[in-house]
Amino acid sequence: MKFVHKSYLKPLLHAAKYPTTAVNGVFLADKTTGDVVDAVPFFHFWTTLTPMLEVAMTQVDLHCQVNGLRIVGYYEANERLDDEALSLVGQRVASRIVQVNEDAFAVVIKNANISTEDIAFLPYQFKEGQWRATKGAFAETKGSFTLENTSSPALTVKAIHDGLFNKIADFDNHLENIDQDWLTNKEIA
Amino acid sequence: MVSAAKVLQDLRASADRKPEVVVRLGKPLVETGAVRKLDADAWLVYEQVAIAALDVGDDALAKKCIQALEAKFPESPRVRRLHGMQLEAVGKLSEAGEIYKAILNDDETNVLAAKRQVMLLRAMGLPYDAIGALVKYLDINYTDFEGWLHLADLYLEELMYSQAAFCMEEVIMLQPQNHIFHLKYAEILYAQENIGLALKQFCRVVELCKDHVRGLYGIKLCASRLLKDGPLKETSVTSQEDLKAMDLLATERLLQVYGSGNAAASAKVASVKWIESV
Repeated sequence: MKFVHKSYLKPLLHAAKYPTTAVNGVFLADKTTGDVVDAVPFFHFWTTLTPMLEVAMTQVDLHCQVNGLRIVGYYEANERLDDEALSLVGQRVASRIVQVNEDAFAVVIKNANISTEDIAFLPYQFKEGQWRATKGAFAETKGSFTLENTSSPALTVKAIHDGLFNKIADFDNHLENIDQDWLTNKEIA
Repeated sequence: MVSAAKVLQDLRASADRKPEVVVRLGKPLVETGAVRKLDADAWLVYEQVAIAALDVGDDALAKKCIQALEAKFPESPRVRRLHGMQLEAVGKLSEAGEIYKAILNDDETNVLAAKRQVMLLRAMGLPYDAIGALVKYLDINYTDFEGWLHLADLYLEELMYSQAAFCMEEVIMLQPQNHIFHLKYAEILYAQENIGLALKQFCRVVELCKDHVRGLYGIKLCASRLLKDGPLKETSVTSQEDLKAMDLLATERLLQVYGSGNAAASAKVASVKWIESV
């Protein structure tokens, strides 16, 4: 699974914009190449409730159909700094994505790594009936996950430092002000 | 120095925390000892600077203030709580917990210590202990709507929807005019599969706040679900004709909102498709 820069950057900007609350969203892959080409931020008010999640999921699906994309993964950042477990809601949403795409994965953002140059994604995969953190996910030789641009973490640190996170919009923002471009976030990258 | 004291006093009176400002002005006062010249106000400044120092992570300054306060008021629960917060800030969570517990043993109505204890248990990854402590607190302080709101969030993290719904009922009883609380309640009811009641709450949101987009989406979701279920279920709640009318009205308002705003093309396409397909 290869992450294009934009798909690494957006979830981290989302987490940086709301450092005191949990945030979540999904990853989109190109249907032909299979690369993870984008991420769509969902929520920061509350991530545990279902009605707007249903709306967001369906609208992202419609967006994918028009643009040759598909939903391949789920991401979340927990509220507590050192919490790197996939939440109950995260497991539910990710399992729903697995039902339509068996290679689907989940990512928990390592809050402590957001402003360092270490990779801040902790991938989870569904194996033997449960969600397990993938060990050595980004390891150089055998890792099952890669970054297309190895300087993505460094570039992200710089973007956060420059305040780019103020420009990212999630579905919660969009519902408060529909001018907020949550699906593509064109101003980013 | 006098003007610094005045600014600090104004900040104490306002709701703004502005910890950087408080530390910048207060640190020289504390370190030179000039703060003592403020007489009775000195202790308020120590407390204010201590909290601001914890906010910005200046542990040495926080400690200095707290030690001065402890020397003056050795038994004060207010000072002991500050000490607990300082321990929390440097990661000594269980020691901090002991302090809060001791304060609450002396006086179980101490609001500040009770609230710190809940936050602490949550930070320690003990959600059920945090819930227990907050329930105990609300037994005494049952008109604290923020407490009920916080309890709802703790339950939601554990996906305990019916308990969370109960908390939101308390919140709404105390704060009936805030549409955000009705919205949260509606979404919890929906998550609980109580679609009929969720619909009523989403309607209340739109009633309190015209063209509330999230509320309109909610009405549409609920009305279309109930219409799909057919007249056999939930007929006693809302008639099929009323459901159709609500669905139509929400559709019309949403199309109007998206038609007149400056939504990005991608969002417009996806939302209009959604509105027309649901």
